[in-house]
Amino acid sequence: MFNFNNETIVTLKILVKNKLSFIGLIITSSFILLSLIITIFGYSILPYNPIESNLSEALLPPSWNHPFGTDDLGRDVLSRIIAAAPLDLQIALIVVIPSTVIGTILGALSGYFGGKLDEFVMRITDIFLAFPGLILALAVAATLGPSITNTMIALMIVWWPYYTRLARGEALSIKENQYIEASRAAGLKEISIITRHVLPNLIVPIVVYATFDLGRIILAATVLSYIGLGAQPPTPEWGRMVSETQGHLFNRWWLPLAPAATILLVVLGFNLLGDGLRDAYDPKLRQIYLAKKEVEEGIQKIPMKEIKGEVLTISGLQLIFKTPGGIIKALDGVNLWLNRNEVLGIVGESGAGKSVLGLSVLGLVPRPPGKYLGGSIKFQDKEILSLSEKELTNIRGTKVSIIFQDPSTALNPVLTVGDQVAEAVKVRLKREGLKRPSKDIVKKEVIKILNEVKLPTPEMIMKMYPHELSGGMKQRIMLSIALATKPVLLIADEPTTALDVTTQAQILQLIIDMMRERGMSILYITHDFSIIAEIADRVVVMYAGQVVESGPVRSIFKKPLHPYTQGLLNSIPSLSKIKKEITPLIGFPPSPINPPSGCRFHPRCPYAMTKCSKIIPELHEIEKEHWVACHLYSKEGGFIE
Amino acid sequence: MSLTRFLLRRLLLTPFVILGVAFISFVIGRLVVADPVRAWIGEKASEETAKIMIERYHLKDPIPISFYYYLINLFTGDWGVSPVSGQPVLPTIISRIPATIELSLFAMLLIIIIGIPLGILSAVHKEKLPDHSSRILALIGMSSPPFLIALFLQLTFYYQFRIFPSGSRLDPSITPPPTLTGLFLVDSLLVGDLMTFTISLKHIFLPALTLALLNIGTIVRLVRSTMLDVLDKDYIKTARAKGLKERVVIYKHALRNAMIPTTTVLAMQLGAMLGGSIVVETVFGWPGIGRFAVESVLNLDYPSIIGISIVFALAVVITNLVADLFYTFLDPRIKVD
Amino acid sequence: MRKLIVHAVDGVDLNIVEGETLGLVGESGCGKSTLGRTILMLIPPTKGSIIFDGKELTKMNKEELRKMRKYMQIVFQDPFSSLDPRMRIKNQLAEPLIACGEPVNDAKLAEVLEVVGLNREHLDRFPHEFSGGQRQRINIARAIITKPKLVVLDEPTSALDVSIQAQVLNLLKKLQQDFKLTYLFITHNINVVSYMSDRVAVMYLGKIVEISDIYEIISNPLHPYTKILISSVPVPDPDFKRIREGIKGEPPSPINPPSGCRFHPRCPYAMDICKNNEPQLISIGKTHSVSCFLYK
Repeated sequence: MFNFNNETIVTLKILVKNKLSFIGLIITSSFILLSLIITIFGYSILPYNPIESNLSEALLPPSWNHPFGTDDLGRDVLSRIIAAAPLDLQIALIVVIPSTVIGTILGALSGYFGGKLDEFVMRITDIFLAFPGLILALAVAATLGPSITNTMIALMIVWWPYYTRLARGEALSIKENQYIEASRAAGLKEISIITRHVLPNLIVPIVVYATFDLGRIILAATVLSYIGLGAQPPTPEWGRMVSETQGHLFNRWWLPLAPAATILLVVLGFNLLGDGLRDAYDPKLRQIYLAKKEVEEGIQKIPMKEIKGEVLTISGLQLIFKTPGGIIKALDGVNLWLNRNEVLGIVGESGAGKSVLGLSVLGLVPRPPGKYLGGSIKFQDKEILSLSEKELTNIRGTKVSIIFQDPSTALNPVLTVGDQVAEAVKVRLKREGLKRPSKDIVKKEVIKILNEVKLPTPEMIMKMYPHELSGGMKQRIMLSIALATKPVLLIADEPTTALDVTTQAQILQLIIDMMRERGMSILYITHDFSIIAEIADRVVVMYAGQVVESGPVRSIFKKPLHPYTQGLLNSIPSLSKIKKEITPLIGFPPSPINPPSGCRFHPRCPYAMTKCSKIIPELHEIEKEHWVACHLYSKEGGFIE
Repeated sequence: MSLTRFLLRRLLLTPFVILGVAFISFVIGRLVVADPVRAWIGEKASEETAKIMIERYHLKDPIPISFYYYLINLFTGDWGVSPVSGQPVLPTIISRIPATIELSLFAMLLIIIIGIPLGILSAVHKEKLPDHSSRILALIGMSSPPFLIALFLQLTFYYQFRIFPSGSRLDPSITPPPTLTGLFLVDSLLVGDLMTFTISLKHIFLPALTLALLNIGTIVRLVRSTMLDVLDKDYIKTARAKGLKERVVIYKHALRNAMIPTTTVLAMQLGAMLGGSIVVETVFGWPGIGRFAVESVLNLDYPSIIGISIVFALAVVITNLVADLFYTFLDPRIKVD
Repeated sequence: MRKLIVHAVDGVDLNIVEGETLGLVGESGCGKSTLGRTILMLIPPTKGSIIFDGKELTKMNKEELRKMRKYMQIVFQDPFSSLDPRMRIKNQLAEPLIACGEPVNDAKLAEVLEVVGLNREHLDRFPHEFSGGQRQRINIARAIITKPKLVVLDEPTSALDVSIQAQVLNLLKKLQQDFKLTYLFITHNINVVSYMSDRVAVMYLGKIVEISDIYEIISNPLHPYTKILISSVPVPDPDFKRIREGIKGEPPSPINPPSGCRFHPRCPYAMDICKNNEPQLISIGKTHSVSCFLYK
């Protein structure tokens, strides 16, 4: 269940750190404290009695004695405002607590079990929700007679359905999690699953909502009093104070506005606190606060190796992301080059930085939070990192294209695929000089390219939406978008990872065919060595944001030099060598916030030497075209086979 | 087929909900009140009137039967007679509705014109000045009691600066335009009466602004968060990678997706506004149904209370239906079964 | 309102021998995950029988079924959503013990964590403090804590990095030896299944189209779909000569499966008989069964 020491302290810490939620915390705690004080000690603690009339002091303007003046019965407005605090707090708590409890249980059961129970509960909830809350509250309060108790009853009747609906929605999404199924598979009874898993996970969203609700209920209660249905005179209540002094608005504006502004202040406090709580419990933000604070190292200078490629030259590229949890070193000195008509495979695991590398070539990395600390990306003699957004727009989609991993998310769901392909076509036509291409010309070009990627019935497909197509078809659409602009360089970021094996084979073949026909260069990014073996001419192996090995594909597979490459190749099962022992690499991929010093791989390397933890190795050409960044191949290291 | 089927299904459910609402109000009026009969016919009615009313509305029968007859009367247009005014309820309600509709629609217009661009700006310039100011505006709107904004605006723009009048729909000396839609702004334009149009505009501005400010916070925050969500998605990267201008990326690709949940919420807000304009109508003396609701409640005018509840519930249900329809129109992924 | 019935698993006949690893491969939508869950009665089958250890599962009531769960467990694919973010590891590990009424003590929990390569300090932590590979180890620990006989592994390494995947696969092999477990290993990755399995069953659109031991299936696939599948798999060897069999068309929808042999619209060898009649699984040789009209 909810752990009350560590987790709650962390929440409080986060709340205090966030300036706005800290203000909210101060306001609400002061409000609650004041209310408690008034409740315990009564009116005697106030400077002036809030109920007794004192006609000689009526309608005084604000002064040191009476910061908000006095009302028409001579009562100090400030004292009345403070005296009224416990009332609305009381109403808020009495309404929220039962509503939360009833609503949550009802909603959770309804959402979790579904079926007839759910139908029934939803109908009832719908009926209550169809009543604009205030009207129902008015009707009930009026019927029962004006009093505070009746206000509470009225509001309770209005409020519980909101919690039911909220709890139901949360229960529905909690139900989808695999840990629920795991508990069922373990043999747990349904009721245990609900108490152990569903309810505890419901608590946070309900608590956040309830915090906002305390403010909302206070608003509703004050409106009811304003109309005349809540507290009766002489009991001080903010809403009532406003309606009683409204007539003085034009010459004594402080009389109605002071209590009204107090309501604003208190409700604001709850809203700020609610915002803060919601952020504090956001798993991403929480993770950041809970992660051990790493000591921030200085950014090491990474050795640059500039080998000119015909199409693309990347040297010493350093990219960081500033996040609340620390500085992520996404690219830590990348050196690579790409020539014409070649497929360069970039292989690495998650965190190696290969995806941001692809995005960097197009200038698509958002800055902030990204920031390039050094290095260069030269595409056809243009330095990408120093281009303006306008110049980048010119390069994108005309000279360089990209296809992404998941075609379901890479296509806009509300536009037809034909429209999305047409956009790319129009960009190229404009570049070729056709300022306003006619619809027919565009349509012809779209059909042409859809045929090239071997999509059947292009005329029909054009009018369809992405969700109506299969994964393979969507990826062909992505390919057609990328190729519509006749690029010189195609960046393929894991384009087949989300596809089935048989579809993957088709798409791979298509990419190879397209490349041959059009004479493009391809930067093929993947984590799958098998795909690299099929498609790449040369390979770049990345680890922790750096290039550790680079060479022709056969050299890399037959004679991997870097211990990481060796280890990786040894740990991949293959059906060409069934049951061959695989020897996993030890340890885990490094943290991008605090990677190991020196050679990033050294903690996992079976051959690590003292030098490895201190100095980052440079890329050296060991055999023809085969480069490796490893101290084993330096003069001290000797040659290890 | 899908759309008509969907509509039919919802229309089938709607009366059920309205029935429920009517029943609850009815029950409150009968069970909770000391003298249910007097609650319907008022204190002042004579014995003969009482007899006629009891007969006509089956006031002394048990609740289910009484409710049954109430429903029958409802469908024939007889919603009872107000014991306070002596007038039949339905025509009174109908005469008061257009004022509220006009107010809510104008407020909605303000919300759309100000709120949506503000939300977009906040998302595109996250954590900078437009974002912070919109956040403050949203917070104040959401945290204010309606009378605070109403009174403050009245004080500033009527009393202090004399730009806008203090209330009601028109100056007392002006005759209202001919009733085509019941909305003064529309009607005066339709007959080409620019003077009445301007005066109506001046009168509606402050109350509509109040209503808008109270509700704008939700929309701004919603647009901001959905835009931020959408701008993070892969298809935005694809759009930029194509070499499209940033303006096209934001409006054609991002906004269209962000609008889907937004229009739904806007429609629901409209329904809520119809019921929540009570305080605004009271402060500005706006002759709408919100004010009528308050009067009926304070006077314990049961037939009117029940009639108003039904109308409000209808408004909420219809706007919710429209909201769902918007969703299915805008999002091609939603297949209506 | 018309109910949409998805023909996920349709007339499947399967045997799993004690102590073996039976691999279940197929592409998305073929029903392999559904089959795995149905075998454990997490999804009640519409018809048919499931006999586990001599007992008929489909005829049991809720209580009896719950008690059987001690012997049959499952490890899911997603290391992130399979652990409750708000519950400590030790409480989640304890659940199978609680469910079958066995006593829970820290010693037992610590022991099972150590067996999967973690240590006892991890008991008091929360899931977000662990990496994907570690979470999968925790899932495995939870699955074996009751010393089950059968463990269904539903894509256990698909969401993990390559270098971590190898660690987990070897762990699974070791556990199988040490605890005499029987595995149903469900995956779409042919390379992985070839490493782990003794026998393999190939599924297509809810039907098992071929079963054999792993060497047979790779070297001598009989069913046209299996042939295409095996030839489509990329191999980490640039010199590996392959002849790719092409597959036609798009994956069909499980809601509206083709008539007759489900594969016929995409089959390069489709004959007339395939359009209207469903083939049955027939034995060819000792361990090899195939469901295709090309074979008699």
